[in-house]
Amino acid sequence: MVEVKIDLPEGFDIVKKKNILLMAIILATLINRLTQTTGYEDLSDEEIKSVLELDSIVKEDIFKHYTDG
Amino acid sequence: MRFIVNTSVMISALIKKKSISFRAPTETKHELYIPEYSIEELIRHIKKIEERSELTSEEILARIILIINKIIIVSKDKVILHMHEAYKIIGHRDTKDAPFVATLLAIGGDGIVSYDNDFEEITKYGYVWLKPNNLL
Repeated sequence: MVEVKIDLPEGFDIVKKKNILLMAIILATLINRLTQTTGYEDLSDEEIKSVLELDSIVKEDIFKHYTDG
Repeated sequence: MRFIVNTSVMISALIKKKSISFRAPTETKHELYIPEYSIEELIRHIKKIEERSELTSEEILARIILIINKIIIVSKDKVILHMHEAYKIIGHRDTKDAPFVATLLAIGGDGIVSYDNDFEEITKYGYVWLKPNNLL
């Protein structure tokens, strides 16, 4: 497991503003760079089954927006 | 080409560390779309996704941001106009899939990316059903 520690300087404007979204974008970029160096796999049948179970729950709630009112 | 991304792809991108479902939408050259409220509902159920995920909360958040950055959200107003036609196409398999098919019709897209076999129905109407690895 890789642990990423980022030490931000005190004068870093983003820290002062506490802009969480910007911080998340910076974090996302760093993580994306890390993941680009590793291999990628498709899901196993078991994983697809698990994903589709969750998907059914999420889709049901999306669907409600298109039928209610 | 223009494809609709079904929530199964986004969920799998948030569950598996080395997921092709994360790489495909973030690296593809195709245009990707989702119906409005997909992200909201995905986030509303994030705890359930997190329970089955190999990723940390921070990694999940980071991936959501990267995926959102690559996907165009189609407004409910545009999607709802095509719901009736979408029911005809996919309603007999799963009515919950109708907003995704309606989004496809709304943008005049080429197909839907999903792990869900129900979307094979769209191929009868000249659209493409593909898995995330086909996006690359």
